[in-house]
Amino acid sequence: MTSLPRGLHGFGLRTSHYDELLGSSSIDATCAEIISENVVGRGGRPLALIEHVRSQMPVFLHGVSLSIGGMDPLAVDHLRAIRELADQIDCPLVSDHLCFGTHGGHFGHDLWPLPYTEEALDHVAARVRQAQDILGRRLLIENVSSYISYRASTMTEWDFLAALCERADCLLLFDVNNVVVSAFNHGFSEDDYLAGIPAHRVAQLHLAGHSDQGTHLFDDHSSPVPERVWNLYRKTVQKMGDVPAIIEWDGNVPELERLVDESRRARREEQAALAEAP
Amino acid sequence: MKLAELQGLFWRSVRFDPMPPELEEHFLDQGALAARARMKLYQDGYWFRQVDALFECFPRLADALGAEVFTRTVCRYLTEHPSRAPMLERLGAQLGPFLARQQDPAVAALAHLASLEHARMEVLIAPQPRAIAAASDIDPETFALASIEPSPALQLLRLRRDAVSRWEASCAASAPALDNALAPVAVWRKGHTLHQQILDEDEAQALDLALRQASIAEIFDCFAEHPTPERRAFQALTAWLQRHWICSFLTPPSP
Ligand SMILES: [Fe+2]
Repeated sequence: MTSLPRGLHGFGLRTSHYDELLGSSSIDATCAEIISENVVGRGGRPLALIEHVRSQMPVFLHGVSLSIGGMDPLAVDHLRAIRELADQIDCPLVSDHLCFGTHGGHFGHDLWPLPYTEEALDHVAARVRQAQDILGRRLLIENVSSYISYRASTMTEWDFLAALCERADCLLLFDVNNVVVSAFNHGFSEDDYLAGIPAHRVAQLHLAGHSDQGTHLFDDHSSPVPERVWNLYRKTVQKMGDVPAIIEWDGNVPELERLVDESRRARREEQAALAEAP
Repeated sequence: MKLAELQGLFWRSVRFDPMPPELEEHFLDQGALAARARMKLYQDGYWFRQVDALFECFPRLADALGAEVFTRTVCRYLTEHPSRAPMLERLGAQLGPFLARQQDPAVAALAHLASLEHARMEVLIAPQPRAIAAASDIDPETFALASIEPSPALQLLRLRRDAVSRWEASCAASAPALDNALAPVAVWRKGHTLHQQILDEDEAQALDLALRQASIAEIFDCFAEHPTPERRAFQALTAWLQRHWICSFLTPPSP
């Protein structure tokens, strides 16, 4: 296995920044991420952008539509196209979410949670292995934020993820904000979640903002990373080390410089956390 | 309940109102929010995300209909045509034909505007052309029998003229006069820029043949009625090359 990247900080590439990024020869970040569905099989600006950014730093491919927990057959052609692009840009990290988003040939364009059962674990593990065979590399599975729980669940989300890593030999994209959101929404402990995640499997982190709706936290990626997420990020770094971290910002997308600034803070927080580590 | 049944229940809860009565048997009430209120967050998200994507893909149509009518119309559309593609941009593929079937003539008249906006989106995200042909690629020996490999970022449509003028009018402008005569419209991408143009009928027929792998000789026949057919054909071919419509000239295998 090629070694995983370490100590990188960057942000998700969003369409509103494409022109500015294409005109910039010195982006102040050390990695970037693009939504796979926004670039796979496309020419024009998205392709030019990814090639331009790739000439400066590694670009990670992040999928939103794989529906790894769904019952419809895996989108083999889509996975092949992701592999082709990943090979072309020498992409070190390819990810998607622990969720389902399809039913009966239809797409929900959302990340719906799964029940955490042995049946679901068998199902997801088999599909992750199939996806990895097509991709020719290990897949990073990301924990989603969620608002509802199944009565059928027999294990915690972190136990499910840990078992999935063993059964499918996959990696994890640990979304720190999603842990904060789901912990509030379901009343579990962020620390228990972090303790249950196998650190050596985590190859990438996500940081993002959410909004407090009173009854629940809503994962809207529309604001700066809140202090509560930075707190958990520092603990995450102390447990997992300098895993590459990406800032996600999808709603009310700010100026590029603001986004770059947020990733600079991630680097500072990481350094401080590592210096403080026991 | 098995995984497949639970996912079916989730899907029905998100897609349909009212949600299934057995929801609470399978999902937890937690803290301040009951299971049904929690599922409502997913239901709202499902509709909001897709309607929002359609607003983004069909800005001129949304202007023409107004936000309220647009939202109502596309919700009916999404009920009839749930998404079948991972890319949100493909969501509106059937919106033009759907509008054409609507009873309200003001809505039906906008079907071609929707088709034009969808074609523009498809051309914008089309794959990169494999190559861009130049005049120097032409082999005079085999030229007449060669066919054209068109750019994937090129579409030829037949649209009501008022759909094109409505697209071209600024948002603030009043609606253009109704004109349901059909015009051939080419939509293409050159570099990163989208272009569209109403074509003359002979050029449209030639392009239509080119897109169907006809030979250059057959394509040039479309200009036979022109007073100077050779000059007209030469002008058209030069323009096609200049617009990056042609990836390559495909020479037929020798007999
Ligand atoms: Fe994330």
